[in-house]
Order: sequence, then C-alpha cells, then structure tokens
Amino acid sequence: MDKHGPIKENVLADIARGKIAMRPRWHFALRTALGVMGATLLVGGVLYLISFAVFILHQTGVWFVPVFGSRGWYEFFARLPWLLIACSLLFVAILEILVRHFAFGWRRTVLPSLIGLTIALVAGGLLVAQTPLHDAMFRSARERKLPVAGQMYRAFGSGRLERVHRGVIVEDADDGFIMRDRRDEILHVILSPETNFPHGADFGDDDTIVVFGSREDHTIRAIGITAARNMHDIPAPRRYMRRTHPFLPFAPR
Amino acid sequence: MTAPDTSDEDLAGRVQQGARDAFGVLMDRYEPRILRYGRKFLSDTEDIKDLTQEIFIKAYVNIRSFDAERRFSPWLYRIAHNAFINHMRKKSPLRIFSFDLDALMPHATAPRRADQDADTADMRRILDTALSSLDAKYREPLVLHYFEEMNYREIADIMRLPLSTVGVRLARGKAMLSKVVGADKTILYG
Repeated sequence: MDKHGPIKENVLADIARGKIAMRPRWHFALRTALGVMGATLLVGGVLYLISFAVFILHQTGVWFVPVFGSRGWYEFFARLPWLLIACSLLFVAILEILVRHFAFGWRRTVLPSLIGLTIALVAGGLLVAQTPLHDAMFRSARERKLPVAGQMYRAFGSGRLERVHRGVIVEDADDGFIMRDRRDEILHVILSPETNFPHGADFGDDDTIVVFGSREDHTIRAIGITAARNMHDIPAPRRYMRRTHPFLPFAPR
Repeated sequence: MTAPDTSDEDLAGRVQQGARDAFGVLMDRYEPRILRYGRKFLSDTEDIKDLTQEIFIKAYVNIRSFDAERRFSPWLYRIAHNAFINHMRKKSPLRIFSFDLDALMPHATAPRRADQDADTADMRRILDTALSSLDAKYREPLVLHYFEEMNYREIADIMRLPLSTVGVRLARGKAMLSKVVGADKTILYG
C-alpha cells in the first residue's frame, strides 16, 4: 500500500486485491456475547460474594452485634470479612468498566452509575442471602461433600471470635445457661444485671442466640444476648417480648 | 451506479452486502470531513492523511458492526476519534491520560437556545482561528458540534462521555474561546 498516495484509491485497491477484508457478523456477535457473558459472570460473582459475606456474618453472629450499641458496632466493623468485601469491590469496579463500553453505561457519569450499581448489587446480594443456598453449601462443606468451595466455607464459617458467640441453648444453669456453639463446643454463659437484652429475653432450649461478651476457657460473661435467626427463616419478632425466660435470674433491661 | 441522494446508511448497508463501489461513494463523502476533523487535532499533514487512510480501512473491516438503523457519521467519527486520540497519546501520553473529573459527577447543563444557532457561523470562524489555544478535551466537542453538526447525544457516543459532560465541555470551551476573543478582538472582527 502506498501510504502517501491518494487515500481512496489506495483503500479501494487494497480491498480489490483482498488485502483488506470485512470481518464477518459472527465476529461482532461473539464479541457482544462474550461481553454480556463476562458481565453476567461478574454480577453472579458479586452477588455470590456479598451473599456469602452476609451468610458468614450470620453464622458467626457478627451480623447481630450492632444492637449492643457502640461496642457492638465496633465489633461489627472489626469482624467484617474485608477480603470478601475487597473482592466484591474489585468485581464492581471491573463491572463498571465493562458497562462503560455500552451506551447505557457511558452516557451516565461515573459516580452515580457506580453508586447505583453498588446499591443494586448489595440489595441483590441480600436477597440471595435470604435463600437457603449458602446453608446447603455450608452443610455440604462440613460433610466434605463440596470439593471446590468447601475449604472456603470451612475457613470462613468456623473461625472462633473472642467476643461474639453464636450457639443453641442446651439447658439452664443457676447463673445463666449452657450453650452449644457452631463448633459443637459446650459453653457456660453467665448473666449479670448488666447483661443487655435488646430484643427481650424470651429464650428457651433449642433457641439460637448470639452472646456478646469475653470468653475465658468455656465460660462467657455476657454483655448482651440477642436472638439469631437464619436469613431465610420467617421472622417472629414479637415472640421474645411476651414473657421472661424461666431460667433468667434477672429481669431483662 | 449510486444515486447522489442515497443516504449514508443505505450505502453502508450495501457495503455490508459486498458492494465495494458504495464504499467508494462513502469515502468521497467523508474523506474531506475526516481530513478536516484530523486537522483540528494534528498539524502534520502526512500524519493526518495516514490516519485517515487507517480510519477508512478500519471502517471497511468493521462495517458489519454498523447498525444501518442508526446514523453512519457518528459511527465513522467514533473510529476517527479513537485513531486521532491514540496517535496523540503516543505523542504526549501524560496530557491525554490525565484524570477527568467532568465525567465523574453529574452536571446541570443549560438547554440550547434557538438564537444560539444563528451564532454558528461566527462560532466556526472563531474556532478556526482560536482552536489551537484550547485543550483537546474542549476542542473536540466544539469541532463536532459546530463543524460536523453533531448533537449532544452523537458527541457523547463518539467520545464515550456522559451527556452532561458533553454539555459542560461545550460550555467551558465556548467560555474559553470568549476569553481568547475578548483578548484579541481581531479574531472576531478581522
């Protein structure tokens, strides 16, 4: 090709000689399909990560501790799964870049688009967390039936926290009750007049609760106790306010 | 044989079907415009010609990605924009890669008034003379709007920018030109 000759003649001559050829339609269809598939995978990935983070927070009991005030909020932020959050943010950023290749993406300014996308994905992640998906996967992971993600579920779901303890009430005790946590450890929970029951104290055997307080060996001095329920359980919020638990030695605050 | 009133979109559709002569007609129509567009960014005539040739080659190679339901010119100018911007990036990477706050936040833009259209001829004259004093990011939307007669949406699609950012850049570009003109009245009044 003569780069400095007449432009039209050069281009048309190259077309005639077959040096330049049109790309077939399927090339562009494939590119669009790959873009859409990539975006779908990213959306799925972010929804999975957000819902998994919420599931982990439920499993560990951290999700419930903000009800205990400033100390609860501090614990909540300190125990957030930051690795999952960082991965989710990275995915959202990649998704935003991908979306900006389409007209509906670039016609909007970056910040509102990014905020809108984040809100939509967090809401979607919370909805996915309402399903029994992670519960089922977690059970499979514990039974060693989940080959790829099993390690991740076991690593995130069974770590021990110093001040947040989720478990099931097994029986009452003179100064509190006995609880079995999610690692099948038996723990003695000691109540005091200072123990906070933000949602009432209507607890009984087999109820799942979250105890906020420091642990020494197998004893927890409870700063606060609240009911824990799985995301996909139908809530029964007022039940806890109706009566005082029979073995509760103090009136709830 | 192609009728002179055949639309660009019809011609592009024919090229997609394999009619090479239709691509020649499109080149006749757009070669001077793309050369003019290139001159608003670059000064080296040979560079502009080489890039224009590349633009038409890319247009032909990718013509089947063009949707004949839409206007042909913004599609071609998008290819041209990429070619010229990439060339400028190679020449001065720092200036072109600078972070742009305009595209980050939404902006309120004033709607275009009818009497503003009457100023187009004046604006073209000012642009022709004072364009080099403007930064490329303000220069391009002004060129597309006043010389190539693109609307906000088409400019947004060519530059891959939010609509409000196009409005802001046009307004700022015009304000900058007014300053230049204010400083040098000979531009406007000869």
